[in-house]
Amino acid sequence: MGFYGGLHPKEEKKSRHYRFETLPLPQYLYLHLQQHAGKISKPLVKTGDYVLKGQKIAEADGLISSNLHSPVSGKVIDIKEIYHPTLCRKMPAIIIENDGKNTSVEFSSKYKDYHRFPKEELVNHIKESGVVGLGGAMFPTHIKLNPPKDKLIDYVIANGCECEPYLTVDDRVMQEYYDEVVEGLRIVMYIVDAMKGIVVIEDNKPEAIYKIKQKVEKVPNVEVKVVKTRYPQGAEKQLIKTVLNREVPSGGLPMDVGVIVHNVSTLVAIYRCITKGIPLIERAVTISGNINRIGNFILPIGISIKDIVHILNIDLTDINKIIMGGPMMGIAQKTLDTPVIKGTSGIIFLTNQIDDFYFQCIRCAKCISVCPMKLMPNFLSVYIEHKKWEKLQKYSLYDCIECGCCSYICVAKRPIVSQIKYAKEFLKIQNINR
Amino acid sequence: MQTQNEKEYYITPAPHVRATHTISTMMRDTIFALIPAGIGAVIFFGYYVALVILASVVFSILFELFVNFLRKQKTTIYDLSCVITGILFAYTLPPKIPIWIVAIGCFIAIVFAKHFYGGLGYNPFNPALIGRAFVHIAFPQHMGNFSIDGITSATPLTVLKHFPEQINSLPEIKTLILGNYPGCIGETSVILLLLGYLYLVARRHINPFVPVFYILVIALFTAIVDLRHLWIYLFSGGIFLGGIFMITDPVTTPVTPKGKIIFALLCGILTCIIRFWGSYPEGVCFSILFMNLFTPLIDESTIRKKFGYNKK
Repeated sequence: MGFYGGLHPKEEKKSRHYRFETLPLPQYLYLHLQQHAGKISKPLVKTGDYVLKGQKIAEADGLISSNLHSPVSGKVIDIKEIYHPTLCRKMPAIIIENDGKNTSVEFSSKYKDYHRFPKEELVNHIKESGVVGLGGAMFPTHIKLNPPKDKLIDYVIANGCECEPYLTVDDRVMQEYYDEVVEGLRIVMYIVDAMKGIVVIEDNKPEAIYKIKQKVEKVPNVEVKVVKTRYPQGAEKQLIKTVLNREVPSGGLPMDVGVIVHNVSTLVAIYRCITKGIPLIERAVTISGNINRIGNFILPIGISIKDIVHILNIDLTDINKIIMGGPMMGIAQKTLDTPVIKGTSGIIFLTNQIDDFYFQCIRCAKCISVCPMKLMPNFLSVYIEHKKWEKLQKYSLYDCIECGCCSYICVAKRPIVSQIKYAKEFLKIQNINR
Repeated sequence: MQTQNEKEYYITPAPHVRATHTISTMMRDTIFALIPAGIGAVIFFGYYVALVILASVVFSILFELFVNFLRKQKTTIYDLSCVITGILFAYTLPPKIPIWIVAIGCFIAIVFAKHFYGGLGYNPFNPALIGRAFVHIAFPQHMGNFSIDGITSATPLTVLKHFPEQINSLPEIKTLILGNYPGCIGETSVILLLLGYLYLVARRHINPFVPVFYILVIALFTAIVDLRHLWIYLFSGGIFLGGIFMITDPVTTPVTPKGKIIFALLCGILTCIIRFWGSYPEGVCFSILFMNLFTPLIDESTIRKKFGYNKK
């Protein structure tokens, strides 16, 4: 059992015993229109409009897209391009000035007793609430919950395997909102007609395992599975392989093997939108690293790093790198102006030694032994370096899940995974131009 | 002075945490693993051996610096790979080798076998073995001299091959394992080489099965051909040195797990063929060099089945 390869980086989960805190709302919120995988949303407001907390301010454009709601009440002061935390370029965003009154639209839901409603209605409601996958990929949840009719789903997996170093949000979510996690899982099971739900937790989170186990005892068809701590255990395909020993085919989705995987934070968001009618306007974020103030926080979507640093009084003198997401897959930020988006699971402040050099591959084969997709990162890296694009297909460039294990382990310090990302992007552009 | 707002932060690609090991730490560990056998050699064969090893390392470093100068590149001696080449080359020489031969061998190993192909990572053949093969062919009279304390004697393998009448003078198993018998500097002591093996396995630098398969296939082959002298064939000669440090050399051997095993098995078979039916008593060096040629082919043909390609 278990998936092939992987590794165990130093955990550094320093913030795991910090309870969730909320922060005072900042004066400005920067809400990106691209907070999901897919097509960019269409803004519904214009400069000068007054919006309420929870009001829809941007709407899904097409099927794979998502709605966006305002986390505060206030005035839209501008819609302009600012830095996007994961796409690393300027993207349009709605900027809202907080009026401090926090006037909210009334949150209510008629779906409290969700068993009495047809599934399509529930999925629609989730779509309306702008729920996306909170693990980091930000895939719109309503698409995942609406599998094609010919795909039978028999398992729903709640992903509590937070394998990235530093991050502790999922751990804390399972400890503090265990009720909502399991209830959310049951909602999803009802929607997709799954027989069984499994909450998968890594064995380095004993408190979360205890809490969820206690809750699950009284719930039929839901069980807890404890798995070994290993990066990238939280990657969908690896998780399914470990738990059910099913292999998602290359280029396929988990639903191809009858499974749906949701992050535990997403389940909480689903639960809240179904039973309370609260759209996705805040999320749990770990703030950690080599700083004086660490912890887990419930932050409104759109708060900028600058405001967080200001409110928490974080000392940045030694910090030279700021990462959104975990240190294995997260993106380094250029400025403090970038805002939190729906997929931000952590903000890590690091004082890193910056190595800007790398050596030639010495073929030590360590990357081959850690690659969870059983690829040959060493050959990919060398071929990309020498621009032998035609060779890449043979070594399955597109099967790479970009977990970063190869770069982590490389003795020659080669940036293998970023070379792979570069090649994917390069070939995409080349194909478009052809 | 920059204020916090103006400060720009480093943008580097993920992952932002990385393992602490580098090429030099990996090579350093290999050097540590080689040290016991060297100490043993000094005890068995005298202090001149220490001079040979030292000379080999120093010459290797000097030639590396020389090539770096010619290629106008930043010095590469800090990756320590030239030190390993030096040590391994010295270990394959007889104890009474003249220093000038050591210098020539190091020149061939570093300049010809390594840097002509582009340096560490690009060399198709194991540099130390190329150096050894060159001096072996060029200076056979020096390479065949295994005298200890002025008494001319032959390695156990030479005895088996060329002097069957001296068969009673062969060392016992205990001596073979300990290493105090005529042979090349670093190859005689099985137990000290195994210490290095354990260290490398513990540090996860080599695939533990590769040497095991290599030694097993040689044992099997030898048992079929000449069961009576199995222990001589197994514990004398370069099998343990080659099996632990040369067929696990990352650069010149296959990278796939399956390929590594195939490489080891074929090396073992070739070694035995050269030993029993070739004109040389020992075949480790030439078998590994020959198999190095096939590394790209083995790599290409043993690409593993990737995740998600299993038909269920």
